[in-house]
Amino acid sequence: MCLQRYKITGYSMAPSLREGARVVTCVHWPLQLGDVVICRLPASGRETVKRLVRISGDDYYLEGDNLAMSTDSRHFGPLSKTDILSRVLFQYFPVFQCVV
Amino acid sequence: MNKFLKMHTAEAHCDIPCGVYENDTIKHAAETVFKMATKMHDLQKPSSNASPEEWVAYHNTMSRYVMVKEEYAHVCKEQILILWTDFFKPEHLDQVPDLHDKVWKTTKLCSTAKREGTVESAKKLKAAVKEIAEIFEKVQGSSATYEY
Repeated sequence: MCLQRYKITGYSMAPSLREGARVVTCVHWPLQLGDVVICRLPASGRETVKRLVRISGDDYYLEGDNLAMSTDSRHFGPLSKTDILSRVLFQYFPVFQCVV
Repeated sequence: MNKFLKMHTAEAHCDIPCGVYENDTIKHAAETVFKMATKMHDLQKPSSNASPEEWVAYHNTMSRYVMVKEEYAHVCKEQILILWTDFFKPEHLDQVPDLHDKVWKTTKLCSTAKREGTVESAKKLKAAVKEIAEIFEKVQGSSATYEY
């Protein structure tokens, strides 16, 4: 299935995505800078949501929108493209909004 | 959508124990729950011969109050649990022996405020949160682990 649903936990993507928000993501969506993506952290295997802020070759740098409360590429370095699972298309709860 | 798209969870946490804790959030959240419960209680129902638009406006306003109350009761509960699990340490039990019981009861009051939506339950929550906030300040003052 190309589309997936995710529930967001935590505050690192506030104010774009708040704790408890529900989103729909697409696996086969071409990635661009600024996209909000679901990625798998190689160290822990956990799925997390971050924004794609820089691409350098096969290095994908991700950051949370809420920099003060985010653990991201500033700490764990870049990820490879295979670690990025899908792109967030829109939030449908608590209110509908496109995620860009 | 629920039927054909399985729900996953994506974490947006900060994994670093930064050592920065505060009690403003729980106080603000409890105050918001109280204000919303008061507004829910005070909101006048339209009269029996009210127009459909008046009923829509009433339900819309009430729904918004309820939504905010639910949201902030959840925030309150979550933030208390964060203080409990991350800030409070075993040695703090020497100063506050009934800490666990107080946290347990206060988080239960968050649920009660959600479930009942009464001014009375919100008032109890506010009082319990005030107590937790005071404990936090007391412990913080004597805690070597707290960092600015």
